[in-house]
Amino acid sequence: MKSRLARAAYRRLGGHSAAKLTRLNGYDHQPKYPRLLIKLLFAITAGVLPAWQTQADTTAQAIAFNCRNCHTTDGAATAPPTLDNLSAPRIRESLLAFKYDQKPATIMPRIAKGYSDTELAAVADLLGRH
Amino acid sequence: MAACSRRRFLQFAAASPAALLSGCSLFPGKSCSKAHVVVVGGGFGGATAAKYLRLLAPELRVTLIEPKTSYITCPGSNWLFADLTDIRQLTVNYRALSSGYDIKLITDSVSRIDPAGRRLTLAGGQTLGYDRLVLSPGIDFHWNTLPGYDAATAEIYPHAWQAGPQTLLLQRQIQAMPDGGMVLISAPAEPYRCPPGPYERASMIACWLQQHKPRSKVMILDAKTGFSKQKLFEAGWAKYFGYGGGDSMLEWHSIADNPLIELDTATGTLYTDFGDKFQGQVLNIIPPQQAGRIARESGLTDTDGWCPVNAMDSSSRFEKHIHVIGDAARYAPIPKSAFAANSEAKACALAVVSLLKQQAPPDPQWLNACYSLITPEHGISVAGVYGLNAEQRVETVKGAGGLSRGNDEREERLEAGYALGVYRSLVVDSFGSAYST
Repeated sequence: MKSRLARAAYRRLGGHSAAKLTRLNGYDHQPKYPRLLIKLLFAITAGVLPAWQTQADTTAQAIAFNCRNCHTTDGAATAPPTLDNLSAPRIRESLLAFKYDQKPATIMPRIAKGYSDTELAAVADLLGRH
Repeated sequence: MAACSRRRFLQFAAASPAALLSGCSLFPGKSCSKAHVVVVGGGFGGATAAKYLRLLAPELRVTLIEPKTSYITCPGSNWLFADLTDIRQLTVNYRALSSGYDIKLITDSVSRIDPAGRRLTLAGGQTLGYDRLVLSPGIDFHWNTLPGYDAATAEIYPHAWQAGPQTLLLQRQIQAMPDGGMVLISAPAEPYRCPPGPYERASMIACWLQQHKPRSKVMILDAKTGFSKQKLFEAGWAKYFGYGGGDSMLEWHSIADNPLIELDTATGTLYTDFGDKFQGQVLNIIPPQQAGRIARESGLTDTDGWCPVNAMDSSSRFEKHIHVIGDAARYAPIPKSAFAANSEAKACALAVVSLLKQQAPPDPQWLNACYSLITPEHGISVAGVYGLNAEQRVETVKGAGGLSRGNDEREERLEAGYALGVYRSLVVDSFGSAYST
């Protein structure tokens, strides 16, 4: 292993000073960015919650929450990719392709196999509401 | 707790489960709008629970109690040993949760919980009422399981299993060690926080030693006969550190049948039952663990030291209005990881909000995805999808999850990148913002 590799990884992890990260991420000590995010999330959930009528809806919501563990962006251009610009059909297509091994990836095929096609479609519909 | 809801909740508590699950609303509409949920513990579980409670039910009052003003994440802390990060990058605070999500933050610890009165007392003397309590207290250590190893000895031979000063102490010791020295890591039996952690740590230490002290070694003494992601770790160790050969930088030995029985603190020597002795210049002893103090003192733990829960709604088996999540709770087969704590917190938040609205909680959905670095360019992962089985217990969804394929350099590089990206995402999703600046 070479030290330049270590440095490359370090740059990916952050690599910059906290101050620079703050600038990159567009927020300061009193973060403006999270406030916007929160308003957005409130708006999304406000749209979703009244639709809590069927078990399928609540299941999709519960599953979709877990997508955010990896797919919550803080503005840095790192993988895994943000879902914020993807449409519901595009997300649905990808999830099904992951599940049936038609789209190569490292971890998503392992995760997508845990859900029914209907669940994946419902999750895509939720995530595609921007 | 708001006075108006106290009496109603007492009535609610007396209501039959059948009425509850039928969706029969005893107190319709907004009766729960002033409900108060207290979250104890500001790690990944508690932070996520507080945030998602507010997202799901903006009308809910949410209080988060945590003694520290900032939190150093255990995930990512092994990367420190290979100089890939620093403590500052691993530190988050609670400002985004308190200002951005309107969560009331109390910087104190809980000294006592009164489950019958649904009140808790803080170390500072203040008392708080709650409608529902979410407990995410993390782990404490079982000191003296290895005779000679206690909290004081840990200041000489660090565990570094709660990130912070202990992590820095271990790093300083490795940096100060003469070339040709031995780093011993004692890995505990299951269950414990972060099953692949000791092996990622050994990898990161070996990476650093290879560059800075190439005649040195790191050796894991394991209370288990096998470990998480073993094949992937061993393949990587063989590739980079000569694992399995006569002069390997990294060795792993199971001592499951020959356990450690003594630590000689004067010489840094570990003795086993059969009389083997292992001496190291640096000793990283990861002790057996149990649920955090407040869970044990509140009668929420079993004899094994962990909190049994009704997985359906994350409530304690012993106290109906207390929900337990994270490493302290027993959600096996879900491993004790920050990622899992975040997922358990979301399921818990959904359940708590449903219960407050006198609705049946949705079927919980849990996910775990856990990345480890073997080198900065070689990442590996394990994933698991979990749900309830017919007996209402946690079950791994068959046909899903599992390990990285392995033996594919492109994917190893990709997963090294994902390890860092997922870490950042998990921090933002849990704490509302990354980095304490």
